[in-house]
Amino acid sequence: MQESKFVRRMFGAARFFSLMMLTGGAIWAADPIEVVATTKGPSLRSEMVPLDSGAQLITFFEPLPDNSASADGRSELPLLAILKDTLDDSDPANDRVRQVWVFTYSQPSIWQRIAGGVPFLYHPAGLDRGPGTRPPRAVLDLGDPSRGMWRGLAYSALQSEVVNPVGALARLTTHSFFDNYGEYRKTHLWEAGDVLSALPPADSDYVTQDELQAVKERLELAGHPLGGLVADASLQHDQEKQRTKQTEARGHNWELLRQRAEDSGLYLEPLEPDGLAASFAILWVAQTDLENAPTRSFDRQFLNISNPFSDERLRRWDGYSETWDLNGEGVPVAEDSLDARSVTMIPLAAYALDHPHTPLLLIDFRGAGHPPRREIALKIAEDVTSGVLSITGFGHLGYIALKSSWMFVHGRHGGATDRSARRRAFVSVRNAIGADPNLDPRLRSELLSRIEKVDVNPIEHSWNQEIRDSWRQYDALIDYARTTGLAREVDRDRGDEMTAALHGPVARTFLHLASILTGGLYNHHDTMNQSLVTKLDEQRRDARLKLQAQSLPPGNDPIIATKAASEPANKAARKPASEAIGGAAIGVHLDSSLLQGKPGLSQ
Amino acid sequence: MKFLPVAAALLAAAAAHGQAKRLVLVKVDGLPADRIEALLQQNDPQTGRRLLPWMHYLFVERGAWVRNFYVRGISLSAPSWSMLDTGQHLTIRGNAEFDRFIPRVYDYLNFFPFYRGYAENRRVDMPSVEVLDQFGIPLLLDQFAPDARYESMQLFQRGVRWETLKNSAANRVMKPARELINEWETGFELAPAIEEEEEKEITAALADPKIQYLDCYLGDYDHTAHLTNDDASQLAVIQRLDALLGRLWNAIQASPLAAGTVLALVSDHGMNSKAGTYSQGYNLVKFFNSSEGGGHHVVTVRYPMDEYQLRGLDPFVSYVVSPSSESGYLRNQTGYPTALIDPDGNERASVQLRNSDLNAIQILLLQLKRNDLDPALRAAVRGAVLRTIEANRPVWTKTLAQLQEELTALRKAIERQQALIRTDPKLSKMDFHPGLNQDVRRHLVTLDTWQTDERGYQEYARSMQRLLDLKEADLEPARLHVEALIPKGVMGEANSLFQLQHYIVGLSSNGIVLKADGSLDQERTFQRVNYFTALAGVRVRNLVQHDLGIRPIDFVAVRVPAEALALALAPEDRPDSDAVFVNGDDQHQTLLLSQVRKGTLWLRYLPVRDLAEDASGRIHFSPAPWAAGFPLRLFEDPDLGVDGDWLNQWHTEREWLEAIHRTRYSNGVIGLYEYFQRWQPASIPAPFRVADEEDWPVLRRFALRRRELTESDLLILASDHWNFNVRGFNPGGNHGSFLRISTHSVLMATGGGVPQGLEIDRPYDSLSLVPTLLSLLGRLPENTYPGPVIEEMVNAAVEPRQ
Repeated sequence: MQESKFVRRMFGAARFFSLMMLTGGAIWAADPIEVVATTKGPSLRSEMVPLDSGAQLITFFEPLPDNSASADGRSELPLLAILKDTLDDSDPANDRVRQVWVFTYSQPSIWQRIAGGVPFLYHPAGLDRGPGTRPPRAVLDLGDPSRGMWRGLAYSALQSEVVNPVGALARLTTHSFFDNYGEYRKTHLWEAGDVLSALPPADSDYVTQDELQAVKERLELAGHPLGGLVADASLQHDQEKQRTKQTEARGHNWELLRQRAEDSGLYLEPLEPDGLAASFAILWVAQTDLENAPTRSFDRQFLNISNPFSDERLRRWDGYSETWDLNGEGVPVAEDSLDARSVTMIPLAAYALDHPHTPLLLIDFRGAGHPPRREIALKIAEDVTSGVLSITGFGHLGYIALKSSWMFVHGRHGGATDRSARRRAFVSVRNAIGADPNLDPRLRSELLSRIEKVDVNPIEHSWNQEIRDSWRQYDALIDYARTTGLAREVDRDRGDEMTAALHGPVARTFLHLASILTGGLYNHHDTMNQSLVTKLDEQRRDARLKLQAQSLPPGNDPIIATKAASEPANKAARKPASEAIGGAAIGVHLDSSLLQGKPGLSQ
Repeated sequence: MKFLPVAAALLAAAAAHGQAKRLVLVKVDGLPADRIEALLQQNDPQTGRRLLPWMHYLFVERGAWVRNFYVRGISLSAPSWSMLDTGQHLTIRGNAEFDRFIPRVYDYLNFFPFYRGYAENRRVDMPSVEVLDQFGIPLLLDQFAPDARYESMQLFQRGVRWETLKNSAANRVMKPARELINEWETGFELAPAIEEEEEKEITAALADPKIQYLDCYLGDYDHTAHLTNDDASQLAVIQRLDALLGRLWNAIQASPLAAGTVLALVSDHGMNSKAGTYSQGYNLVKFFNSSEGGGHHVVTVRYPMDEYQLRGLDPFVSYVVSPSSESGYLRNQTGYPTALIDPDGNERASVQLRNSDLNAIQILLLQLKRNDLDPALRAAVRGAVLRTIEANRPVWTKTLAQLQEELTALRKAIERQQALIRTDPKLSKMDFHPGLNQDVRRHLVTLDTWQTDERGYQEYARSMQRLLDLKEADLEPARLHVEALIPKGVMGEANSLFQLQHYIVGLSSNGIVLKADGSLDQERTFQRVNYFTALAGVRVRNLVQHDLGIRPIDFVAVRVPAEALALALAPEDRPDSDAVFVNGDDQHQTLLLSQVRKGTLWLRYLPVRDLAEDASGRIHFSPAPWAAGFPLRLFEDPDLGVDGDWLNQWHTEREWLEAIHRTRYSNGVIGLYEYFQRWQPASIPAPFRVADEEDWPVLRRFALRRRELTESDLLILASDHWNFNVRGFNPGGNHGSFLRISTHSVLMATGGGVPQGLEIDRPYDSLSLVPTLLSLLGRLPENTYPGPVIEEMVNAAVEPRQ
């Protein structure tokens, strides 16, 4: 496809915005009180499965380009599912989102885990055959977000105090495993949260904005050591802060790259899927500029690539290229412009825009080894110091001071010093490339094949496998939900919610201790009955009331619907889950093509 | 203490007439009126409630809303607050200003030097307030006795608020463990802690009936919108403001003066921020560094891209030289900056260039320092140096004579000030209480300012005198000391239009060229830049956002002396003060003319083309018929309320405002006039009252000179969605231009007799805020403020429009 795609994309984006403006204008003109539109452009499709247990299983699907082979003809990626306990009524005031499954994250197989523990292995092991037919485990419980956190902290203590002194081999293997596994898990949780932020669901019938925000923020906090302790009341503000930080970083990097491209005589192309903000960008050079300015100076700061103007390889370039129409001043113009001339454009690099502080180089088209080499070098340095030399933690304050100083100075000069942030950028951009419907398939394939090479985590899997695994996990969860209605999980969650009401602090401490001392074999759960459900209903309403605005003008006081006023939500539509899955209950919201494409759901 | 009797009398008078007794002014930096207008119409789909319930309740339902309130002048924080906080014409024209005669910076946005200076007894008020004091302009809050006001932290701040800072820091860490964990996981911030502390203090102050003035300055929105264009992120800040207004209102209702309290909300400018569009930066420092831009070593107040430099961590920096590698004659001499740029804001940049003739003299002196110069060339160069000095002699001599007279008066004033200080009580350096010893501190600060002025201007006068005294015999290589004749960091007199069109930046590629008579051929010897052509020709290649185009610069505006225009204009069109020349390109130029007739300002917009000033100072141009494409794009604007014929005539300022305020550039015609006009308060500035009364006229002239020395040679305006920020990046949005989205500000009020449910469509600008608020409080003195009172808001008898 050697044509002027750059200009087409820009005009496409302009048309999209014009349409949005016109639509907005029409709404404005029609009604003086406008209800805020929550979505625009591409969005996640949501699907709700009502469950017998009085809950709903809501799944969000990310749209994929039509030609995603690994999706088996289904042009979507199941991203995540949430279990929303409605207490079997239609009143949202007592609803509670509990479990969250992230389908793009799958439990690594035993072989992958072994590979994850192999010291100095910096390449995806490729040993994973994907998840089996067992339902996936939820990654988060919004009712108990600290679940799993203490275990993680205990492992860290164990590593530091017991394993590290044993010897280099024990240190190295355990370090490698926990680092690789932890990184793999948290970056995929962040990936789901990032997609949820970028592509809000098309309809909000099933979840409220507050619930979505809570899910997004809990996914974000799941990657932080003490994130589980953050209070629900802080989630909204934290989410706002997180969003502001992310959009600031994106705009900052976009502009930094544009200015550097301009100064360097290069061209920046941020890739914006259907008018959404770009999360990555490609840097191009015009072949005519290479010919006309072979001695041009080049400042590589921030761009992190070598001088293209003195690079002989580019003069004999036979890799991917595009043809753009430029005018006499080198400005991209429409194909039919009077002074348009066709120019071959060569891609030089691709950058992640969401990376904090500086754009992150992910692909260097001239040297496939460059970003991975950098990543591997940093990882070797870390593994040698912490794994081999056992220089870690507070026992080596001099080392910490030296490392922190170097990191600080390097960061001030535009270095990407945060490994988690680099990993996050990699996973996020890979998703964006894989899901961008506007990308030339040839370019997408080129970008995907190159970006996979950045991956140095043995547990990580490829984008295609991520899609396949996501569908497998989705299928397994839906099958499980169809069979059980998730009744056990819902009942257990409700019981856990009532623990604080039923047991005093001392008793709760003992119950907690019992769980820890038995290694999790014993977990106390209170059994629900009707009176407890009534209490739970009141408890949830009170909790929701507390989360609402503290002060409102007269006439705007918070109103919480009462139980008596509400009706059973699922009853009208609800049938046994097995019937519902196959029939009308979700048919309203389930795309028919999906039903046809997915044998498990076909009628 | 001198305020108390007046205040008591006014309060008694106000109470007798049932007027408001207290003002709570919420000042929000950059809050855009367009955005607020839209949000006030919107409901949250989830709750069904209004998105801004408190603002709607307070100002739409129960208050007055000035829907067309504009920045007058430049839509930039320091200039705009200077008008909103004083009710007077523009005195401060940028967020930073430079003095042409001495390397001095007025850095209005940097709090750090202020706090350090306060601790060292060298500062007492923010630099902007000091400048206003020295020029004789009081603040709105000065209308209230010191113990009858509560002032929050802000740009125009009197005194420091150590207690607020201390308590904020303490409150930030003295929290329950759970909250600390929240903060730890999501990032610590100090700014919200200051806001929380100030809110506490305001609530406490409201309970005190003695306090009649309270303000609350919030800079959060401006900060966020500069960095991100994300709707949700900006909305979150606005909703926090809405909630704060609710809490303040509840505190007011619980206070002893509830019924007599006016709560007003005002912003200093709008914000050109649009979801989905990034504001693109164009680096003017690099332009002026480049050979096309003149190869200047450029001074800014911050390091370009300071977040990527270790030295960018220095919070006290205010004078940074970005050297040029393409300088025509000053390569490696970075001590000689020749351009001062304030790009902060950032849709506009103010540029001061060293006087072109000083460049010529230095270039020639550097040639004369060469030992290998051909005797014929040496003779020609010597002659050229002396002729250049001779050409400038009338102006320089006049300036020096006046300056010497002013410095003599200043010396006497310094001695009086020193005597006054000797009678003052001694200050402890640890005496940080904001309410104590402020006058004593001000005496010290005034002395420090005057002594700095004296040293700096004396040095300038000495070097200029050396130039004037230069003789041919002094121009031998061994006797020449270039630095003594051309001091570093000095810009000299402002450049004329002719100089800006023929600005000397180095020797031409021909080197020194002689005429047939052996004299220097100035035309062929010097390399010159026409800044109007050069700036109009700036283009970029990366067309990343199609709508933004490839021209970062919209237009350039400069002052034109009225006398230079006299012969080129018909008698009825001759302005009675300096005009403004606005250059889009050679074919799209404008002259903004002004006349004051019977105390009313009249303005005329005259489209012209090919405008040029000749070496004798006469201006030539061709009148141009109205067409699309002229600066401010009035002719083609669908929102222009008048026809083309109207545009060809003189109109009063009010007529202009009503005709153009809805256009794309809103009140740009008035804004440009305001930016370039000179004015001075009639009375002697209070600090100079210590001097002999006979010296007052000279000292008034000195006060005016200091302001004039900060005026820009070139005011450069960015195209829509472009900016000139160089310190970092502002992709979220910017302001500073005359675009309506940047000038359209918020003004709303409620309580204390403000009419309820009133929407005021008539346009007003910054000059109306102070007289209106004082009028609501019954404190408006006669003939003190140039702006009109917003009668609709003050006169409750006006029929409210629901």
